[in-house]
Amino acid sequence: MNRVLFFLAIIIIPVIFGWFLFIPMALLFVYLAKVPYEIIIAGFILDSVYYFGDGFFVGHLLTIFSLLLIVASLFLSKKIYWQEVI
Amino acid sequence: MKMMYQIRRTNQSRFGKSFFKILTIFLLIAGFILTVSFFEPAHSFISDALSPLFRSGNFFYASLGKIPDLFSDENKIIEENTRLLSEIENLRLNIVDYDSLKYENQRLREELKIRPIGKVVSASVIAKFPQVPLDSLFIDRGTEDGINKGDLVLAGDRILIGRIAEVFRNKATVALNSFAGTVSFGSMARTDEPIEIKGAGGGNIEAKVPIDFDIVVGDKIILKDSLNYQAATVGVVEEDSSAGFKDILMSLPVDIYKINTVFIKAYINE
Repeated sequence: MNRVLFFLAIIIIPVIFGWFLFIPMALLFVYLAKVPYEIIIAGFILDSVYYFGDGFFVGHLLTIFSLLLIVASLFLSKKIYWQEVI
Repeated sequence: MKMMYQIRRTNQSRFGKSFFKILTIFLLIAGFILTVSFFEPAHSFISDALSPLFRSGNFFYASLGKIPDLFSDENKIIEENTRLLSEIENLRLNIVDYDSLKYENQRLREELKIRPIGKVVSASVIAKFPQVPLDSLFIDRGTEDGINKGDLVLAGDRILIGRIAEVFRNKATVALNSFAGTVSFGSMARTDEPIEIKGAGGGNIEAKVPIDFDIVVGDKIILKDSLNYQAATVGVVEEDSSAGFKDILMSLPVDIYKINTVFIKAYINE
């Protein structure tokens, strides 16, 4: 349940208060939840409305950021203790 | 006696169960993203669904900007009111002048058989920075209102602030002239010399011209369509004698944070 709420918050809060809030919120989500694949969906939804420029990478900037964040955290999961708060 | 030990084979695979579970989730997400990416109505649905949130955020930042007014001095307000009343009177006279000039201009255009000015659609700005990335705006008009990618976005009759960058069913995103990497070709209003201007991000527009190029602070850059539009105002001119160039820094002609309505005009390439 908390995970769903956080997923909604990661979409709603950047839309209301500022797009850049997605980045700290995604980092927080990775810290709090194990394999938070929801941030990819949130990143994709936000990419649909934000314009960062033409081209594949800037067109899917937040989706790619989320994907890289999760991949990096998956690689680090063996090295560091990954708590599962939510 | 020499003992030999054989390593016991186990059924444990290199990839655990959890790996396949995660892989399945990622494949499902990738499938979802790919499907939605090529499905245009989905983008329109997302922009429509998030529109009330953008509006509430815009209202929040507008209210935040009004907080200092609550603590202002009464005398200051009276003084400001008097100044504003006189400004309104001046503006009213300017509008009368402007209307007569506009009428005259229209009549002359008809007589000279110059292309008509074209249809202009007004739109409300529902989100600006920091809600959306810098140098972009989110507006409440889209393909349903006849808006297309590349259309001109005006802040007034002759003030060009940007172009439509992304368009949905009834929402659109505007990339301002200052959007990083946006290149426009215009001319100097004073000398009519051509100039290439490039968005530098953060509300800035830059240009590099030869050192003997006639340009001074306050000059206006005009972009031409069927009409002339002011697109930038020169703010800083820096001479680089060793390179033989002048670095020009410009700004948009209006303060974007004070704009709540924009006008969209179909782009006609001359």
